[in-house]
Amino acid sequence: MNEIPDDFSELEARVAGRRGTGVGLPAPLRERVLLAVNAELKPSKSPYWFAAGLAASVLVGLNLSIISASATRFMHIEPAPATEVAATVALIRQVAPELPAADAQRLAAMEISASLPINAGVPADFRGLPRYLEQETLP
Amino acid sequence: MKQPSADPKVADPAMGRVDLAAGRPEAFASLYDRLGGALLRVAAAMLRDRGDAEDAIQDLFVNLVRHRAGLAGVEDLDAYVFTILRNIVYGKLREQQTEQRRLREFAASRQPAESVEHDEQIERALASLPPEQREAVTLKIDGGLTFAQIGSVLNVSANTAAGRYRYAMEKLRDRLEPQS
Repeated sequence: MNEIPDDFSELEARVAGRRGTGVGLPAPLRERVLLAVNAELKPSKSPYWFAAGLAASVLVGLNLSIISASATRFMHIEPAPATEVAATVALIRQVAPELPAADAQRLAAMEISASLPINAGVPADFRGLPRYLEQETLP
Repeated sequence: MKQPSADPKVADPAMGRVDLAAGRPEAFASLYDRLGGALLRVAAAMLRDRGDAEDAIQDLFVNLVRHRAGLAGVEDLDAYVFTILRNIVYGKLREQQTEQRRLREFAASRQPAESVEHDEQIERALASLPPEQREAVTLKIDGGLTFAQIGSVLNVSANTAAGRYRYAMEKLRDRLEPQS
């Protein structure tokens, strides 16, 4: 039903020609609308993607830190300073004069490198250490 | 008066609906090129604000994209699109003030200062119409819809839509003829 009995064609033309609504489509509106359409058509990223990405990053970071920790030597042992070794050798020789010089040198280096304090307070008549060293040096 | 569906750009409306439902951007561009002018005229006539009318057109197409899955089953795409536009326009009217107040201001409140007297008379005459008759005139003259489509948009029969249009045009003729 497109027509009605009365002929309103002239009046329709007057109404259609009024200002304000008879203007054409502005070109920027087309671009604006189609941009909005295309933006809406793009597959939207779920908000969980961010959480998933963050979780993956945390897991990778944890793995890297574990690998790094396992490959790190936390007991940092400095090489024994020569002067300290010499002093320690002298001390060892004092408390155990029967100990060969090479053994005393080795023992001093080991003690200092391991950062274990030498028990300098060993009395002169203490026999434990020489006996121990004798046992250690036995073939 | 343009008849939107007569545009040769759309050879097969059913195919157009399928493409729209499939989310093809070119289908939406084609729809805009075919109906954009009529949609903007109707929105501008109802909102009396060009910027709001353009916003309504953008909102309409975003709405169509979001609900594109249902477009394949739409019987009359043009009527459906104008129905969505009408809903959006009424939403925008409610955002500003009450619908009745905006409709009373249909022409008087936003007449440009340089409007010629002829246009002011038409706008005043349109503003004096009951809202349902004014809508029928706008959808018919500015939107280029058939009475069947207008009935679909307004949720009334085609005869009712034609009746509203006829009463409106008779009133307009009575109010405009003495001054023309």
